[in-house]
Amino acid sequence: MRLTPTLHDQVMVVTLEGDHLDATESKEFKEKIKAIIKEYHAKKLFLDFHHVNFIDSSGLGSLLSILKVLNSEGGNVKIACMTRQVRSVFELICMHKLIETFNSVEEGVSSF
Amino acid sequence: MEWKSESASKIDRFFTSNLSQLNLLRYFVAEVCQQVPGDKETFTEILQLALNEIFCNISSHAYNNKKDQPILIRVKYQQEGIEFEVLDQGEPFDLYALPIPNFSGKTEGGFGLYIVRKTVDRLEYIPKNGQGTWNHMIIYKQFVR
Repeated sequence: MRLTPTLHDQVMVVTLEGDHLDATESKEFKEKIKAIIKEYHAKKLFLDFHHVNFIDSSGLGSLLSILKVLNSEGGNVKIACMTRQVRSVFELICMHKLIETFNSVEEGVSSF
Repeated sequence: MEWKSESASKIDRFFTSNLSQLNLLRYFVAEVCQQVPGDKETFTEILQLALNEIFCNISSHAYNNKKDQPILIRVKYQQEGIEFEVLDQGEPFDLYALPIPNFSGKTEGGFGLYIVRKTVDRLEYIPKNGQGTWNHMIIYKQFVR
């Protein structure tokens, strides 16, 4: 999956350009995000999910892995613009209690 | 358009255990659900996710990541919902011994079959009975009205 990183006031905003985050994409996604975190020394990560129409348990697992990496460095990850399918799976396994979500990138970035 | 009755069509579709088939699998489920009554979008999303999780579980665990093993999906249209039977020849497992996943963020896996269990109306598993036979996982989802 192609990722587009942009810096907004010390918050690294990454837009996921793919339509799905499933078992075929999750490993590469996780590695790419970890590389971005390392390269930019990013501690505040914001993921823009507005293109993602489907996520499975493996995609959710990759988000938990990213959260762990950032938390261990005193950082955090937040998510914006989740589609209906993504939001319902997210809530099903209680991830909304671990990762804060927002309706827009602007709203989320200012929350850091 | 009239909904297909129980006596109407059944569909069999073969896949291989390669995860690259996931997209195709989700298209197949969308095709199967095309004419369902009620909230088609929710119904389709739930079944796409459930079948996706079952497929990944078979590929990773039953077939230990081998990519060329057979997975057969059998669709049975019923009066008030759809039944999917997923068959594989891999290593069987005990569905009823699966632990409840950890939701604290400490573990990154173990959610797949939990999601299936939480989203469908019926889930059954019949392990294979000897070499060359099939494991059967059966899910049933009632239409979302």
